[in-house]
Amino acid sequence: MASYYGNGTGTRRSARVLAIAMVALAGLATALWPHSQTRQPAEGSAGLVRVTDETGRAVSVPQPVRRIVSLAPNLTETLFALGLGDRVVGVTDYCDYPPEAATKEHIGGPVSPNFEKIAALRPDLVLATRAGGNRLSTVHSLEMLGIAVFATDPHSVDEVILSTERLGELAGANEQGRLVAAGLRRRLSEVAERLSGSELTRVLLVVWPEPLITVGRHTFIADALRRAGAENVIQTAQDWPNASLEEVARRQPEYLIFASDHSDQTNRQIAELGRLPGWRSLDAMRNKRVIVLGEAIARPAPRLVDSIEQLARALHPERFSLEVTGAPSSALASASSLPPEGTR
Amino acid sequence: MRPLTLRRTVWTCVFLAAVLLGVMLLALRLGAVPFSLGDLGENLWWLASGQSERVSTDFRLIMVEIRFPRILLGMLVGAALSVAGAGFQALLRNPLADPYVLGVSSGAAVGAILSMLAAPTFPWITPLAAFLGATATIAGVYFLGRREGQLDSGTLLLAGIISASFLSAIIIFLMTTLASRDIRGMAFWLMGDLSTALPPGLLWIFVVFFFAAAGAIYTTASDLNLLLSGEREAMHLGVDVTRVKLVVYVSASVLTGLAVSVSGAIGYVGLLVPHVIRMCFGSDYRLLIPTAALGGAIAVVFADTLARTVVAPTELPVGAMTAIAGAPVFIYLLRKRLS
Repeated sequence: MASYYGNGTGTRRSARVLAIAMVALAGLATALWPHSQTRQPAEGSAGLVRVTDETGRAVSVPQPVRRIVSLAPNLTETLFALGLGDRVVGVTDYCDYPPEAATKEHIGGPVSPNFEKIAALRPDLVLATRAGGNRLSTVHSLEMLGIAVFATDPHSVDEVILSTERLGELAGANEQGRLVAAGLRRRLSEVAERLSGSELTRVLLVVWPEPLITVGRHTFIADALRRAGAENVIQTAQDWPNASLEEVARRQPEYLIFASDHSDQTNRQIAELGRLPGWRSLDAMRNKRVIVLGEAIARPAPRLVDSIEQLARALHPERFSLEVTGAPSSALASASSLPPEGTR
Repeated sequence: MRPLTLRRTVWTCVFLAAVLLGVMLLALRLGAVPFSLGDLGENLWWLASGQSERVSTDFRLIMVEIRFPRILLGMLVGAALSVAGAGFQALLRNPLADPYVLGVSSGAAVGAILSMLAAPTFPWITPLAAFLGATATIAGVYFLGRREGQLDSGTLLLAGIISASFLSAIIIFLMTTLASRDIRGMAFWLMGDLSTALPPGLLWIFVVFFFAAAGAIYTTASDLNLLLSGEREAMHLGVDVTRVKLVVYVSASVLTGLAVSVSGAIGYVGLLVPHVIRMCFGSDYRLLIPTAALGGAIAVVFADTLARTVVAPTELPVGAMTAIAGAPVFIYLLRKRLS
């Protein structure tokens, strides 16, 4: 105990030394801290275009846009569909479509992308989406680095198409954007024509089985279901509700819809689910009225329309019976192997 | 234990500062975008000698604007958590106390979530709301933790644990019932994450608050030493126990609130680093406070370097890294000391 009081002067002296050391450290930090937080636009640029993105932020995009980093798989798909694949310099780990997208530089996942990697790619434009898991703080961080970030926020199929057109305009592919959008709209109205007068099929879209996650009514997926002549039995204001299996059992959807690009694995998983209490009491499960769509149904990109066509055919085969390449003959349709038409 | 001398304090701090410098250099060297040691040295020299026009654009962009600020933030967060942990351990006289045990991180998360609902597009608001949430929680726990006007360690601890689980339940409730999609990103934030850049203005506020709060705890170091042998004993030896407790409580809370507001909940640092420091350098608080600050900075910068590099370019949350690396280190030191 004595030593605590024994060197009281020592304490004061050491406190002074420490204080000086801390001030010195703080000074060092000040000296090294970056003061300029903004970056000049890339050399040879023809000025800036000021736009408001879909989340309401004002963005200045250097023109022309030559180097684009995409922070979500749906944006990567859209860029390739617009013929802008060669301007994409960075993609996320999950950008698997089209296959050549995966050969681009990877910048990490959509939720926590690597800022060093992004900055090193010197993008003219970074694309983010509120519908694909990007965080707002990611957008703010990139903004602080002086990188232009345009965020999309589609809530319906129409808005997905509008986003596509808008991205085309932003990156100097106006013509291609209009063409792609017109093609998508034409295909949608064809589906609508064939389905006109038919009742909506009551379905459950399973985003995740255990615990059961489905989609809310304000999502583009719910809209896509409606366009394909279907309606989710769970209707909530939340986008990704954790639904009660009891409620699903009470409403008895006519079809269960799963979204997966690995249909073998998913079919095994569905067989497992069919043995579980709750799931096995669903009529759709018992009668094997289960549809496995590709993951494109969950991506707000042009391929969404492919999914809508596939689903419409699977649910209402009689409406498409006049076609040569007909609808799937069995109700258990694995649509994931169909060619991705009209996306390139 | 040998009596603490100025000589020993200074040399221990110099030693740890050297380790910190080494870890900082390592952290600067490693990352998703590789720089050779030569590049690093050359550019650093140009920066230090005022020839900044010679610094390459890549270096300026990646090192100066991303990697170095992140390392600085990691240092501050680590130092703040570790000093707060040491403070709470003395205050509660409980070796398991850490900055999160009083529910601070959950309070910060509730604040952050509410701010995302109210004003999602304003980047400053989230750390500020998180700080307010943290301090509000701590104030609440303080009043719950008093018994007969006195701050009672056991009651305080229980009040903290109960507030933490209550607020965690509120977070889950908000995340599952509210329609806003941006809230899902909060789950990531709860794990502790240093990737979000801080507006420079906020960083300076952090620096000022850190030195004020850590300094306040340091002024009570001698009293904390006496407090460790018991409150009554300390009081008989002339320590103003009520004042010391209040100073340490408020300062440690401010430090925790700061750390949580900018990085989420980075676990283990506040619990582990003070223990490791005690095992290495003894438990005299006059040495423990500065060395814990340096040790916390070393731990977080090192953990964040691993988080940035092990699966690059994908990043792990630094909180996962501190737990993975922290638990085995702790067990090892504990066993070694027992044998």
